Amino acid sequence: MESRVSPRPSGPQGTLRRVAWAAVGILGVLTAGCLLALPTADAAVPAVPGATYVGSEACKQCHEDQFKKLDATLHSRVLGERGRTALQQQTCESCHGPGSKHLEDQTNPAYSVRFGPKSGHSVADRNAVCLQCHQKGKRAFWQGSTHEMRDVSCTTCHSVKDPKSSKGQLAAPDQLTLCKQCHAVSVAQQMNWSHMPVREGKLQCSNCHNVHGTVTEKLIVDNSINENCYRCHTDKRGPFLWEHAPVRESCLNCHKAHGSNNIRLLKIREPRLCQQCHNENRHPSTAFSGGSTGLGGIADRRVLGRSCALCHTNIHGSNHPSGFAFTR
Amino acid sequence: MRYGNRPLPGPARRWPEVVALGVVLAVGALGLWSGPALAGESNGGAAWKDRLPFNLSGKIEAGGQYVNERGNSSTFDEYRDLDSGLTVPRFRLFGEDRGRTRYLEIGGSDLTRTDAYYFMNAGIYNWFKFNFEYDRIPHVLANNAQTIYAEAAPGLFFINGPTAPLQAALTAPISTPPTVAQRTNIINAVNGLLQPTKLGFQTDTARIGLSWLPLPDLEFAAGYSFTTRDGKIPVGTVIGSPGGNVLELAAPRDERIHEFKFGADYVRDWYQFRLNYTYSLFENDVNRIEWANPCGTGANCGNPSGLGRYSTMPENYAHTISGATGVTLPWWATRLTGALSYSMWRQDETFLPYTTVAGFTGNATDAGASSPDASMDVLLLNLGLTARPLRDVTVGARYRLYDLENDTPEHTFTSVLNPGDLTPAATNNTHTSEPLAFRKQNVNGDVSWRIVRPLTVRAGYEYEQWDRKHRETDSTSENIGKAGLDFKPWSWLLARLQYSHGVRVIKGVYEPLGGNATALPQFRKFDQADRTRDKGDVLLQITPIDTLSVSGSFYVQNDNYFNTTYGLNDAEGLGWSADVSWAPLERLNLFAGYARDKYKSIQQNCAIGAGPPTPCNPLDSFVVKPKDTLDVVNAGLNVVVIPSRLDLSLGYQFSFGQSKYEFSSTPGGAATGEPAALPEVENTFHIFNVVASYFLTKQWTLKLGYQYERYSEKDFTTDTIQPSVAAVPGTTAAADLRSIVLGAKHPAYEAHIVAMSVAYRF
Repeated sequence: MESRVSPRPSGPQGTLRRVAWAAVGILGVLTAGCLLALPTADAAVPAVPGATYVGSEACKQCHEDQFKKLDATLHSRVLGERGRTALQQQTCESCHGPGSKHLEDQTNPAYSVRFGPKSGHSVADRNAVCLQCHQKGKRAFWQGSTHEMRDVSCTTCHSVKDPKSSKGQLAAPDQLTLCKQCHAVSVAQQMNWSHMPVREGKLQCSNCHNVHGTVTEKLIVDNSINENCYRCHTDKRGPFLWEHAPVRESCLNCHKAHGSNNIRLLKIREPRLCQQCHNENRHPSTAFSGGSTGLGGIADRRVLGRSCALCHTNIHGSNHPSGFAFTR
Repeated sequence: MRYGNRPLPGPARRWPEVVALGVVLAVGALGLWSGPALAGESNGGAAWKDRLPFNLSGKIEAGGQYVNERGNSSTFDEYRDLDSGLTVPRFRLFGEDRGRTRYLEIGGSDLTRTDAYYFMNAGIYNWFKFNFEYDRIPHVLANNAQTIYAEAAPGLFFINGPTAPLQAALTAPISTPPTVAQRTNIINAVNGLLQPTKLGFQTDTARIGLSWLPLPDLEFAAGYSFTTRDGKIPVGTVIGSPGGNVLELAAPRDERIHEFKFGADYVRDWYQFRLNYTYSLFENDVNRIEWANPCGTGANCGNPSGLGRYSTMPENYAHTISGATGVTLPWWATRLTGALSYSMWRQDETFLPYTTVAGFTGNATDAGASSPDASMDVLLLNLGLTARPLRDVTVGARYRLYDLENDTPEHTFTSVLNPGDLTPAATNNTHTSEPLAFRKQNVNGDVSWRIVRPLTVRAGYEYEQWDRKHRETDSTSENIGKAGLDFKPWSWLLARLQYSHGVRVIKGVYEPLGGNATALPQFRKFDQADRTRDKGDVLLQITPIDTLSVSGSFYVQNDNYFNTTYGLNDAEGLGWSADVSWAPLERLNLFAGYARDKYKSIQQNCAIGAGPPTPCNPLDSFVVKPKDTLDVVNAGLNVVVIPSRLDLSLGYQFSFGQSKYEFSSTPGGAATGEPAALPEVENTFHIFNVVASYFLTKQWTLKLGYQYERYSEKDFTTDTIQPSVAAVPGTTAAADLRSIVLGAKHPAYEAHIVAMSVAYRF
């Protein structure tokens, strides 16, 4: 197909575009003004002016119960004497900050960094403490990610001293329970008849999503939704001789990942699904009505069972010379 | 001897029971050996562990379960191994040296079963890690399928029995409507050859990983995973589509996936780099499916070779190299991130012949190529910037490019078997493949401002552009505005609100392709059509006291294809939930919740019964309104009946799913253009469970559990299905009567599961 010169859109779309660009421009000017003219923000990691490190033994005198909890976790194995950095060697104070001021006045909440819901520190400041050690790997794109922009703190999902899960030090026994706090409908979709084995415990939310931030929409782990699916469904990667365009562009054009009432996680049943794009002569345009039997009715091989996929079996792509309609 | 309606596994499966019994005996022996622990509860039974030169802890749980399931339904154990017998639900041993620098951990769940999970981790904390996993996932598709075929070799199907009666019945003329005798003749011939076959496959994955930190800031990692997928899946086939009869086969699945990964991470205080390489290989031991035509070479539905053939998913491989970097600047907490990834996807499996018909054995294209030389290259570029110019203001900007380039050569085939043909025609059967490609770009900017302590507002803008090759549109663009707020006036109340509005338009013109161009040029495909998208979600969380938590959520997404007359006009997803958790007493916790999910759409099509170039008669237009809903209710409680002695948990979950399809049409025109509503499709699922845990001592726990499940469904596409489609009430077309499928259904079931286990923790 030759490329065509596209005329500048007019009407509502054109106006909207101009307004949107104007808004971006104004936002940019304001941002630049803020950056240049206004005082800078404080450093992210909460600092206690004048405080010095006192050592974890001092903490243990009052917080022995916390010590016992920490002792059972992975953090106790990498903090303290075995720490490989100066920060890790501070044990308690590597997260809660230097404790000398807290020893002098234990009632002042500003003298110690707390991480619970009643903490006086902002979410960003608390998260900055964790990111001192955990910025790498899966958290490389935390800043600007969906959860970070919505002020979700690390301790919303993780518990350093009292984890409930066997992996990941989660604040709940499993990921479904944890994610349900905010994504209850997505979790409920697992109860659909057609589903992936998440509620059976064979897959987890984190198999597809990296909640700490990614380069892909919907916090998908891989570079695109399709590449995420190809990790397990590698047979669909191809490339193929005959490509099916909506399949190649996004699996979500036809499927619902969290669960569906339709076979094979389809958004809606065939032939209706296929008729969202196909209305060619004869059977692609047939209504397959519930009101009639026989040809064009529901007692038809193109409605029963696997419906369109009974003939168009290689619907994700075909490598057969006669497979241009995905029947081979 | 039978437990319930499931027979004990035969001799070939006896070894899992032996292993499980061995573990149970080992647990018992360990318990006897640690006899002093039973008497000496005050010291937690630690005496024997102190004698070891290392720290050891763990948990072993073993027991048995009795399963009584009525229905033999694949829905019951779709992803689970629920056979009656001995079980080892959990097993974990964790050892460390006394200095707590080195560790070794082994464990697993559901040992010896087809849904088992095993793992081993070892390493030196903060220096080196080794991990191994072996995960098994069954996927049962149907227990009640039947087939007339047997396999001579994987993928090669022959009719298992005398073929003459079947051929005679299928190739005999069928009148309109068919007579009872014609129908019965076919049904009897098919049923006489049927054999049961199970549909399903087993996915087993083994993974190993190594991680090494030679410096605190530098980490190297490598990993390998190997997945096998074996079993049988239902696959539809046809000879001479679209007028031809269909066949459904229990096709073999014998696939392997290899994945190698290497990477390095270097992280300093204000910058970091990451490099990764991944190689992925997909292997398929079955490259073709070939089946005997039950009509043989006879009239009406036979074909000259008496064989059908299609190609399976071809083997392919991919290389991906990626890098990422992040830099934190000293001004305004600014962070710049960049990611670059390049992938090469390749596939070059030899073409199968055009057809099974003798004399047409070639598979080369006109250019002489015998394989596709299929090649796709994918480039991902992601640049991000976040900053906090003021303490309470965060700004972010991002650019993302995803470019899929298709370098597969265009292949032209001139002897193609067109749908409807049983032999290749000499002329006019030319088809040329098209190397589809696309590029997707996103630009977005967000600002978040904490106006006052409890209130944060957000605003953002995003622009998305798609550029495509070999599609109806060259380019589409979308402008999206977003707004949101978070309100947290007190620590016990959180409200989040978010809304976005997007408008997508086609840049240029929409040029219909293929059959749509002839039949209905005004048809618009939804993935490219002009569209507005409105998305909103609300979250409310209230924790007025520490022991009471109430939350609710709501979401809606509406896509309106405002310039589409024929095609998808509108699609809407809607859902809400409410959950409460309350601990009125220290020993009692109650919880309940409800969620609803709804998806509905509206599309308009036009029934065109005649072949091209017949266009749409507007009087034959019809509108379809599919609607799917899901309701889920759950409730339960956890109670400490006797402190440190007896815990009890109860739970109930109910789900109801429904699919409706309503039609409306323009009066007049052909009867096929005036359809009526389809029967509703519904399924209901009840799960009730109760688990009692009795703590004999601090180490020993006895657990008794009971679970009741009940599932039923109503689905007009499978409820009446039979292997011989001639037996399905209402079928009248000759091709329907001549079709043979696997007849798999999802029957209702009712199940009682009783399980008992003993756990030892140390």
